[in-house]
Amino acid sequence: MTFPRAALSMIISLVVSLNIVCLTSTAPSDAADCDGGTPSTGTATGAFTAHADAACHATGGDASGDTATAAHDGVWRKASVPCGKSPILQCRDGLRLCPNGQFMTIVWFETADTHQIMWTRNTCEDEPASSRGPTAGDILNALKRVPLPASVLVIQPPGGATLVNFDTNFFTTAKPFERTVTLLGHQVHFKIRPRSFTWHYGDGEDETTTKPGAAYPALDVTHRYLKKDTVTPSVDTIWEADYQLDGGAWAPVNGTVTKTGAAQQLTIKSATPILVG
Amino acid sequence: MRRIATLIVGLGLLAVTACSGDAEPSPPPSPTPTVTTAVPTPSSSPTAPVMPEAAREHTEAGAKAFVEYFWEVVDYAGTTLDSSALRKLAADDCVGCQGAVDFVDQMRAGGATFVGATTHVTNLAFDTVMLGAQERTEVVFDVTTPEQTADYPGSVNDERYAATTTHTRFYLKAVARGWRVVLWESA
Repeated sequence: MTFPRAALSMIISLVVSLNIVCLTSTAPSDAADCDGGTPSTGTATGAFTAHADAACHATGGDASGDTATAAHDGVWRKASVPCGKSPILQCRDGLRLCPNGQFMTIVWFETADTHQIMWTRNTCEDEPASSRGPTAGDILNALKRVPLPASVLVIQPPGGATLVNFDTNFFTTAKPFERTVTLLGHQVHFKIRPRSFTWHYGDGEDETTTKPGAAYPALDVTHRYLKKDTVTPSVDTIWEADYQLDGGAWAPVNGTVTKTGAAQQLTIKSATPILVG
Repeated sequence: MRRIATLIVGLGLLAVTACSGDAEPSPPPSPTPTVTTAVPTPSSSPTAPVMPEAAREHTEAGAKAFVEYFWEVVDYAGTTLDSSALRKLAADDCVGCQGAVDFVDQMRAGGATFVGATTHVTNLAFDTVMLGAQERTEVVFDVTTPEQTADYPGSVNDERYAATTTHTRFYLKAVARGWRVVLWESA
């Protein structure tokens, strides 16, 4: 197979031009980019990988964009890639780099009904922050910014006094709730629920339960004080959540948020037996 | 417009092929035969590689075994021009995989012979990437190939690839009994 030198030069110029366009392009929000083997360094490859790399170009938008959106209801997503454990991968600012020094970005299509992930590919982009989806840390920080209900402690008997050696009843009123916040241009929907409760009885005893306690006669969370005293019990509520990013699949938030409760004053009295005739 | 783009890319591939040949000249080609002769066929047909049980494990060792098995299947596909086994290891939406499968099918349809289906996989490294809430296993490795040729009758459409080592990336999706490749690209 031979080519005239002038024709060969023109073809090489075209190939170089195409590579520049692909490397500097940004995946649109509604269609995956044709990455053109983005991370490629341009070195020669074996026959099969050459055809794997070329497939994106050869099929163009039909295989990755137009057909996808026509045949499936869903959205294209993309995210930067956090540095992994492999020492052979280049990283900057905690994010993976392409061999050309740009930030490596994963693009994929997620179907609306089953959240199936399809047409995964990599691109390289100049800036990670403007295009990347929220990280797990971003999501947790967003949850921390959601105003949480006060961690209210209810004590029975009421009135700020109880008895020595008596099952003093404690409960709180935390209930699951939902909130939606905007984070880096993405809609994050939280389903927030109490995960556990840490009871500080004020006499040096603490206890963690998954039950919020309940009003008498359900004695779910009780404590017996052993001597007369004045204590300041409180309850902390530990919240957890699931989140949904832009209407996608639900996933657990990687972490919890603790809401510290206000202390109450409680007087512990001793009972004096009185004979009634 | 798309046809033009396809043509340009096709020409580009030819250019890359030509460049590879220029950079590392292959041994002097044998004289072009004036009469097309039938390509000798092996005396016994190779059998498709059998996936080892280890390659079904959803562990790093399992991913390693799977990738090594995958390339045995690539070699098998290159030798026999039967893409069926290769197709089964790839997710339907793996564009790169489809490119490799199409390459095999085109060679078969064109009556070609593929020379150089003896790859060697080394330096495997593993990681995890998240696509939203879903996890994929990333495997980056080197594939060493000898000089490879897709030899079509008449030589006009032959594709030649110099002996090389290709730094390659797979994303693997765990499925019920093993893995599927969802991304195949040079890394």
